[in-house]
Amino acid sequence: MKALRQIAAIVRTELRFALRRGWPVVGVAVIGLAISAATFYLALANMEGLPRDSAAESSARDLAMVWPAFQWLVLGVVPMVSAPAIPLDRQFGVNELLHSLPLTGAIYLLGKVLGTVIAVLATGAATLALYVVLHLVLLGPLRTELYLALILFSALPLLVWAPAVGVLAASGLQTRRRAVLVGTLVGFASPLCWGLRFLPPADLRPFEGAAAQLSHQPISDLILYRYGLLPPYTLPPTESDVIRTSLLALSILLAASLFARLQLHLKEDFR
Amino acid sequence: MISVTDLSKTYKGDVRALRSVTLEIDNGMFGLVGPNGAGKTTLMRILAGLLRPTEGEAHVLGHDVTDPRGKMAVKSVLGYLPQELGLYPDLSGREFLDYVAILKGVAGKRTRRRQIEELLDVIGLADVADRRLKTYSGGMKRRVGVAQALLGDPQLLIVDEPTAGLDPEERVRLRNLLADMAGQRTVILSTHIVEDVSQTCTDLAVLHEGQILFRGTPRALIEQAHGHVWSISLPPGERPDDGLTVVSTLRLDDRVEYRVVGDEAHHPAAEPAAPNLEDGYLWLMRKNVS
Repeated sequence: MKALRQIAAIVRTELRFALRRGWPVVGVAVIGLAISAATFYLALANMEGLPRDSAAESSARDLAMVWPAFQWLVLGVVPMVSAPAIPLDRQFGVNELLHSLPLTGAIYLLGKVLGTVIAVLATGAATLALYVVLHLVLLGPLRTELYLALILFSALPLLVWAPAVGVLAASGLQTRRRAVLVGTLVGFASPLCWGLRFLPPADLRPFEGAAAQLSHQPISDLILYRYGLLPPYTLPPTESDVIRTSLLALSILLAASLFARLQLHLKEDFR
Repeated sequence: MISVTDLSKTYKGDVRALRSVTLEIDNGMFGLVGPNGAGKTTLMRILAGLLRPTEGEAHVLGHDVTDPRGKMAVKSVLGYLPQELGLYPDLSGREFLDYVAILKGVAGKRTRRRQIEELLDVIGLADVADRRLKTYSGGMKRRVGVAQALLGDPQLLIVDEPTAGLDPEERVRLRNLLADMAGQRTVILSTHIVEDVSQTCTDLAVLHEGQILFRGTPRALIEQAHGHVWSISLPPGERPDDGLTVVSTLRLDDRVEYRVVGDEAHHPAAEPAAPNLEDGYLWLMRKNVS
């Protein structure tokens, strides 16, 4: 019970920091708004001359075009804006006090990660709500099933994974500047985890093959493929591609957790 | 209550911060005095479970602070004010205290609120408690630090240089607060300001280069300087003997009054003076260091 209260307190405080410092909130909001604006721009341009009842289909196609950009922006930016959560405690000199409290390293880490992830998810949800309202007003009803599938199986895992890995990877650092640097490196490396399909398309040259693999993400591609929205030049992913990607992402998250735990133990004698 | 046996701590680069320190501390207000770099903070951090000793044993309230479980047990009953306390600039004073209270395990929203309001009154920050900490002055931040240490009614209070950066009025108020706290609990006050100890502590130790030079009551330390303190009144421009340590200087219109400690004052104007704790401390340091 005491541990739960401690985790809840750290999460609540992290949410306060996210709102007051603005980093994760602004980062996710900017990505969400940029992608929404791009989708609406394409949808409104493509809708000219089309009857209103076909707007949902048209905007879904436009969303399918924009979705890869959303994913890579989340993976590229969110680790960077999330990474300072723990190093800032050291930079402000609060860690000495935290270590004197009956608080274990695992609880501290969990609270920090959860707080950052919830801040990112809450901002994502708010941006999505704005998108849905604008869609209903400007374009009419949207394809609910497609959106739900993309949100639950594509956006949600990324919006949990990216801030968590950002916080964990930078957990041993002393300053915000170094944390942002490490977060940026994580952001650059993330597509290698989420984007590679491991099986180069046979009909493309190596460079184009690698580019094709990195420009699409297996999980969202499978969803788009099932809804008939995958662009014709993209090879449809297999279920084993999706499983491999998911397992790799989970393994990296686990490895980052162990790394962070070790960092806290070695640097600060947290127990 | 606190028992330390042959405690040593060596940092990287063979820097020996503590050398076989043995000490017993009972309930009440205990002063740990010494110059900068004497090992006070290292000893405090070991007792607070923040640092592992290189050798020796340390038991706090019956718990071994070198053992992970014992360390956690000590932290559950500890109030700690580090020498360099950092605060979250984005939180208000009240939010920060609430956060620390929850992490300390102070259960119940009402209990927490009551404790926080009481402490805010005591430290005189009730009016500004909703302001962000980044707007607080150094003294106000120090007072927030003291308040967080007192949250949860700790059995053991360790305060490292609590009066650093405070104005004289704040210092007196804080000293009185700490003295009031000591009763059925142990308060360890680490400082290089001897006056803080003389006003509050019933028991003290003087630490120098990682070793205990003196352990006893303030009166016993004062007694050591008996016969070694003089007052010398000299015309401006003239100085007491080189062999004496000047404790204080008072400039009058046509004279300068020196208070000195030393083996012998040969100056004809030297008059024996009753020693105080600062004299006792300086005499002890002079005797052992030179």
